[in-house]
Amino acid sequence: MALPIATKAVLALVVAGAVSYLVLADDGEGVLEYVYAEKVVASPSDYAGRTIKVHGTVVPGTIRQKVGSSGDYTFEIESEGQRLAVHFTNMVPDTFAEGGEVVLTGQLTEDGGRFDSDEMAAKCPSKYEEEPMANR
Amino acid sequence: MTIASLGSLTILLIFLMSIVTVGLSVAGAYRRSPRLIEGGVQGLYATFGLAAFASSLIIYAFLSGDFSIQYVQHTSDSAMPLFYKITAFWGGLDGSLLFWVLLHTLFGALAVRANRKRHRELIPHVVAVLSAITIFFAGLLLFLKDPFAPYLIDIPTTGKGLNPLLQNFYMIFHPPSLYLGYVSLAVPYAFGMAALISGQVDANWQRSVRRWVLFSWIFLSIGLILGGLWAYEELGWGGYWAWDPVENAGLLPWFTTVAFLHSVMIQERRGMMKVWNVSLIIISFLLTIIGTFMTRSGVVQSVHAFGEDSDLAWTFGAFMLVIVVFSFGLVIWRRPLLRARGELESALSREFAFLVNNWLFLTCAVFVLGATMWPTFIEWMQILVERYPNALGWIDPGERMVIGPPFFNRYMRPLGLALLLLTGVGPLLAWRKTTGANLIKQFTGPLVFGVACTIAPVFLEIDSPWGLACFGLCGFTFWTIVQEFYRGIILRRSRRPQGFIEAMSGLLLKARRRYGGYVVHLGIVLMFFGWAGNAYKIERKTQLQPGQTYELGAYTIRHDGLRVTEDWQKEMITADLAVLKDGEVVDVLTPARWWYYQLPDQPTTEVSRYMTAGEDVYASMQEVDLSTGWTQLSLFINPLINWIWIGMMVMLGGALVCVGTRKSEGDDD
Repeated sequence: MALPIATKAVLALVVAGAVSYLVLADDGEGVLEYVYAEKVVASPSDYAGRTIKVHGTVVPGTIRQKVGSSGDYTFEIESEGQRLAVHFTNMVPDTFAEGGEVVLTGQLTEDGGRFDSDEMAAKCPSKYEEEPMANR
Repeated sequence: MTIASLGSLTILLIFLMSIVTVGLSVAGAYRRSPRLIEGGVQGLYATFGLAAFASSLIIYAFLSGDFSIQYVQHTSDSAMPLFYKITAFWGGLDGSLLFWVLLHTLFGALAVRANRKRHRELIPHVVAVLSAITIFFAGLLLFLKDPFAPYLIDIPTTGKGLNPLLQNFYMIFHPPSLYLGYVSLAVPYAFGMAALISGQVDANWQRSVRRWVLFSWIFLSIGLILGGLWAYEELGWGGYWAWDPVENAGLLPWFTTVAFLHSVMIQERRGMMKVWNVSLIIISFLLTIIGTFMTRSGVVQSVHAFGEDSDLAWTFGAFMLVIVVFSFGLVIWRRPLLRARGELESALSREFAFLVNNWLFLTCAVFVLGATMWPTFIEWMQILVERYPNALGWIDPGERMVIGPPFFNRYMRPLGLALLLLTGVGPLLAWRKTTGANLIKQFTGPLVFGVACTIAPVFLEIDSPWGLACFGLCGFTFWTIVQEFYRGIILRRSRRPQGFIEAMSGLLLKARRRYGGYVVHLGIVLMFFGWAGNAYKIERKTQLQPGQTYELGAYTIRHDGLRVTEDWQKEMITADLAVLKDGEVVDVLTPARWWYYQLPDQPTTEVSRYMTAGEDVYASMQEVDLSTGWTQLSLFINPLINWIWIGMMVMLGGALVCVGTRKSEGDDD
C-alpha cells in the first residue's frame, strides 16, 4: 500500500485508541460465569455473593408458589444427583416446567444454602424435538 | 420396499453419484476430455434429481403420517395442518441436512447450466468442488444422520408434533430463507476455487458470482428479518435480537458477503485486492459451514450435546479443516497470478473507504464469531483436559461463562456507527484521490444536515449520547444519498429534457448497481434510525385487574376484562386492554395466552401491539388468574421500531434493483 507514513501512523493511533478505550472501559457487563448445579453444591464458598448462572433440571414436585403472588417461587434444581434450593422472584417463562432444564441468573446466599434468582432461561424451543411427549 | 428403505437407498445413491461426478470432472479437466467433463456435468444434474426424489419421499412420508420413520415421528403429528407437515421437512437436524443437499445440488445445477458456455474452462473444476461438498453432506446423512432411519421395534402410532412456537407464519419462511442464503454461497466458492485451480483469475469469474453473492445476501437478510419479527411477535420479551448463537450464525456470512460486494468493485475498477476478494468468498463459505454446525448440532447450547454427539462435531471439524487447507493452499499457490495491478494512492479515495469498510465488516464477523464460540471453546477445553489429564493437565481452561447481549452491544454499537459513517462518506469520495475543492462541494450539505440531526433531538429532551450520534450519522448519510440522486437527476435532465420521475427511474434502471446500492444504503439508514429508538425504550411489568389503569409513557392502559375461548387446537385466555392517549381510546390490545391441547403445560404468549410510525405499544400477558382477574403484564413502548422493518424492505428493494445488473455494466460506479 502506498499511503504516506503519516497517514498510516494516524490511522494506527485511531484504531489502537478506540480499541484500547473499549477494552479498558469494559466493566464485564454481560459476561457471567456459567456452572452446573453440582459444582455449586460441591464448593459453595467459591461462588457465594457473586452473580452467576446456574444450570440444572427442575426437580419434579418441588415447585411452590407463594399464595397470592404472581412471581415468587421456590423449587429445587438438580444436576448429577446434586440438588440446589432456589428462590425465584420474577415471572417464569412459558417453558418453565417440572423436569425441564433451566439456566438461572442470580446469587448464592452467604451460607451457600439457597440460590436467589430473578432471571430464568428455560429450554430453548428449537430443542423441543428432543423432548419426550406425554402420550395421548 | 418401504419408504424408509427406498429413502436410505436414494441417499446412498446421492453419495455414490457425487463421488463418480468428482472423478469424471477431475479426470476430464486433467485429460482435457470434453466427454468426461460432460459426464461430470450430467452427474451433477443426476445428483440433483436424486436429491429431489429423496426430498419428495420424505415429504410424502410426512403427508402420509409414516411414523415408522423416526424423523417423521419426532417432528410431526397427524393433526398438524398440511403446510406445517411439509415444513416439518426441515424442522430438525436430519431433515435440514437433506434440505441442504437438495438446495446445494439445485443451485449447483443452475449455476453450471448458466455458465457452461461462458466459462468453459472453469466448469469441470466447479462441478468437482460442488460435488465434493455434496459428498460431505450426503455422507453425514448416510453415516450419522439418516432422516429415513426407521423404528426397528415398537413402531409408534402417533407423532410427537412440532412445537407450537414454531407453528407460525414467520417460521415457515425464516429457516428456508436463511438456508437459501447459506447454501447458495457454495456456488461462488466453487467458482472461486475453479478460478484458482485453472489459473483464470481475472475479474471474469467474479462477474458470474457477484449475482450469486447478492442473491445469498438477499436471502440471508430476509432470513434475519423474519427471525427478528418472529422473536418480536412470538416470544413476548419486547425485543427482536438477543445475540443468540442461532441468530449470530446467520449474521456472520451476512457481514462477509457485504464486505465482498463492496471490495469486488475495487478489483473491477483498479485491479487490486484479488487475494482479499477470493479470501472473503472462502471465509463466507466457511462461515456457512460453521453456522450450520453451530445451530444444528447443539454444541453451542450445551456441553452434553457435544459429549453425546461428538461424531458430528469431529466430522464437521475435519471438513472445515480440509476446506481451510485446500482453499488457502490454492490461494498461496496462485499468489503470483493474484498480484495487484493498481495501488492505493490516497486515504481520501473511495478505494480506501471500501477498504476500511471491509476491515470493519471482517472485525464484526470475527468478533461475533469469537464471542459466540468462546464459551463453547472453554467448555471443549474443560472436556479435553478432563479426558486427557496426562497430556493436557497443565492447561487451566477456567470456568465456563455466558456472554450476553450487553457485551455484544458494547462492541457492536461503535462498529455499527463507524460503518454507518462510512456508508455516508464512501460515495462522497472519488476513486483514486479526492481534491480539496471536491471535498468541500461533496461534504458541506451532508455535514450541515448531520449536525442539525444531532442537535434537533436535544430539544425533544433526548439525551442519550449513542442515540444522538446515531441520529446525526443517519442525517449525514441520508443527505449523501439525496445529494447523489439529486445530482444524477439534474445531470440526466441537462442531457435530455425529461420529468423528475422519469429521470429518477432512468437512474435506477440504467445505473442499477450504483443507484440500487444507494437505495440499499437508504434502507440501512432507516434501520439505524429505528435502532436509535432503542435508547428511549420503556419497559414495565405490572399486575392489573379488570377496570384498573396503568400509565405507560404518554399512554394509559386500561384493563377491560378477560375472555376465554377455544378452538380445535387450543384454549385461549385473552385480555382486552384499551390504549388511551389524551383520554381517547386509540386502540384495544388483545394479548393472550394459548394452551395447546398437545402441550398443556407449555402455554404460549401471544403478543399484541399498537403500531404507529413513531412507536409501538407492545403488551404481552405473563400470567393470569381467572378467579380474581389478576393479569400479569409486560408492557413496552418501543420507539421508532417499525422503521427497522421499513428499512429492511427498502434495503431489499434496492438489492432487487442491483440484481438486474447486466454483465456489460459495472463501470457505472
